[in-house]
Amino acid sequence: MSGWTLIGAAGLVLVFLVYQLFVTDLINARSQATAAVELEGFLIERRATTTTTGVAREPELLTEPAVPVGEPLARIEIPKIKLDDVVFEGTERATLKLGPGHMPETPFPGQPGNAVISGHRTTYGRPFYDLDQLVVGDEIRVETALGVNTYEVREVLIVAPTDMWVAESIPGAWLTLTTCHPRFSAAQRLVIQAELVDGPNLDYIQTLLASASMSAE
Amino acid sequence: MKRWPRVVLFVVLGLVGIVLLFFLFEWAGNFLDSGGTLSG
Repeated sequence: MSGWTLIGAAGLVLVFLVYQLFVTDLINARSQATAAVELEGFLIERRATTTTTGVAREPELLTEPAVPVGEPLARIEIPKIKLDDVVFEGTERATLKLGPGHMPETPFPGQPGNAVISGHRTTYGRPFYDLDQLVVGDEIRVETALGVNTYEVREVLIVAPTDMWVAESIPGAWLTLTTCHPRFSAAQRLVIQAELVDGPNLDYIQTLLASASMSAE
Repeated sequence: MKRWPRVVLFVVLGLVGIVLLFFLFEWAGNFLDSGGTLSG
């Protein structure tokens, strides 16, 4: 291989790294800034269409309307790693370029079950860059049309990308965050599982859990 | 060959190269960070 070919190949790798590590951040910053403004309007609009489906004299389950893929859905805040990002509906490549994405097959954050949110680790704004710093007990807040849901980290896992079981439903209300691991590699997944400790549906979920444990006894 | 067809050819090939490079970067970027999604 001639010297010029090597210089060309090195230049190409350099341009690739600059694109992935810096240009994608600029693309993401622009979409996050626009989405933050849009989200405020969307949340107000959706709050007006929030419904209740409970039984009288018991806590009611508050639900919210479905959100089209690619639209802002919620705001995620993790104070420990200084994360404050808009979450979009969907986990396709195009959506994840905008910010963290909610897996549509899973419930919305704050609803019973396991809400899954995926995000980039080292590119496109790197929202989950420091996710490995979270430990059991750390707080995660997700604001949806229903209000603010507060979760506490219960598990930190490293799994294979094919380990779909982390997205399976869990009794109670859970939030699962997934990102690539280790940094600058997509070989594995870092998974954070957090349990709802405060939110608009907490009373309903606790009643649901209590009745499930009573019927199991 | 006149000068301008060569210039047009050069510009077209350059644009095609940039587009191909973009897709190459997008594809290769998946090995660096695929967005943390799970696939069964």
